[in-house]
Amino acid sequence: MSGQIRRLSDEELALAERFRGGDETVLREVYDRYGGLVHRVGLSCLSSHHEAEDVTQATFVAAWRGRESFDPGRGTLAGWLLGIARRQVVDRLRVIHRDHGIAAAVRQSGPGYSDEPVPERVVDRLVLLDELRQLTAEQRRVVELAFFDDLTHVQIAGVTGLPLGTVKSHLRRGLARLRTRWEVDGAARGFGSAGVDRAW
Amino acid sequence: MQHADSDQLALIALGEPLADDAAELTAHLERCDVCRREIDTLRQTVTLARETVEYRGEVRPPEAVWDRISSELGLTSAPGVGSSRDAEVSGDAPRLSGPDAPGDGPMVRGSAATGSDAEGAVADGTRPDDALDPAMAGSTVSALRGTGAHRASGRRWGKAVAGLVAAVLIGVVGTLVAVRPWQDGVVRPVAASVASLGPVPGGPGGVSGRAVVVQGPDGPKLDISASGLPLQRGYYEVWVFDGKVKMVAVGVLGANSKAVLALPPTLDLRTYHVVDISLEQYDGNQTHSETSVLRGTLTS
Repeated sequence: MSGQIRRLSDEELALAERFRGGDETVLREVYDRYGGLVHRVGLSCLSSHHEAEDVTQATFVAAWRGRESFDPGRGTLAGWLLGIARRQVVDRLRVIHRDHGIAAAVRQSGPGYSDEPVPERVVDRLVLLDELRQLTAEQRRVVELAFFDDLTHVQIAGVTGLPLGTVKSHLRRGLARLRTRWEVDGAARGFGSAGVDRAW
Repeated sequence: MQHADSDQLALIALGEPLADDAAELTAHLERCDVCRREIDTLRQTVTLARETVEYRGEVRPPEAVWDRISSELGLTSAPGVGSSRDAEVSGDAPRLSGPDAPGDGPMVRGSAATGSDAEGAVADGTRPDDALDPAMAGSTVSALRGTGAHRASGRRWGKAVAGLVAAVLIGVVGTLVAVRPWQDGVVRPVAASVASLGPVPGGPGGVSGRAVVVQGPDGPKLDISASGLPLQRGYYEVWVFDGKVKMVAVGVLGANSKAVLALPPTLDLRTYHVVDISLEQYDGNQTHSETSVLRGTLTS
């Protein structure tokens, strides 16, 4: 699958190279670009605002210290950062589990517990969110109308004024890009897999 | 017939009805594992992509986080290039995501042509109920659970499932082997809880499956495989259930009706001891559809 990695934009490649090279100023750029995405992991999986901030801090600290281990051939910088954040979250959940005990954790969470997402799924979503943001504006609009407004391709053509063929092509290509990105960077496969290579 | 064209597969994965003259395509899909696998994978992608609706608002960590990073790493060059964005943080309070958080709900978005009110109408009014397999007429794309929107009446199975838990468990074989903590970085299929999954009363027959709890370096996972699941519009979701009222969604069944899904590390499987697979629709509702197709128990 590595042959199918989405071609990184020149900007992403340059950023990744400088990052690996140890240019300190680049960490701030990486943080500006992906800090929000990384922060989502903690916010979504942990109940405390402070813990989420700790995860974000620990992720960027670990990323910088381990920057030489980032391999652009295996996936994107965003995917790598999300993998680190996921492991940070899992470690914290384990500590919470140890501190409070299983029963207490379940009791406290009550009926809302079923809404607490597992970190891997959160990362998978965020990987796709990152990819969605990199579609062209037109392609993104078409794909989002199908995803979030549940419009058919015919309805999308009506709403956007685009030819039917163009809409279908945007849907197919957009979906293919998301799928490839998920396969490369998703928690079960990419950097996030921690060496565990299991098919879904 | 050659394989279905990729435009068509993408539309199917998005949940669009097939055209009236698609009998040949339908017949092909029923026979062709390659195309079905492709659809499965695309559907999983669509499901995940749709879930990003939770993350639509912009989030930034507070600038203080950068200061701590910079200080921990002893960076010399640390001008706050992006500090002006700090203001954006306030609007997005930390929370557990889910349907109980209406403030960040779906469809609140300027670029869409339709709002949340219109969404149900569009889905309900314009999509004929023609699942891939016409015999499975129960799978409408449009049911908006919990909003009072009416659900199609063609459902053949599943609706009464919630009240039948006791009956469901009869005949289910469950074997608890052991649950040992992960120790040395290797996934251990040896430390496992096993459940055989079987049909649900009122659900489709001829279905079976197996669920194994595996302890991995990242915590417990549920390794699930099923067979005989009907080809349906929508997707199959895996849950663990306390046998009474509480359910936790653990993920979506993947290509070939298999999946390895992470379980929340804090989840007590002695409580959540029933594994359940349900048919879900792309309706934005994250609660259980009450359409179970497979179930089994992890005994303790």
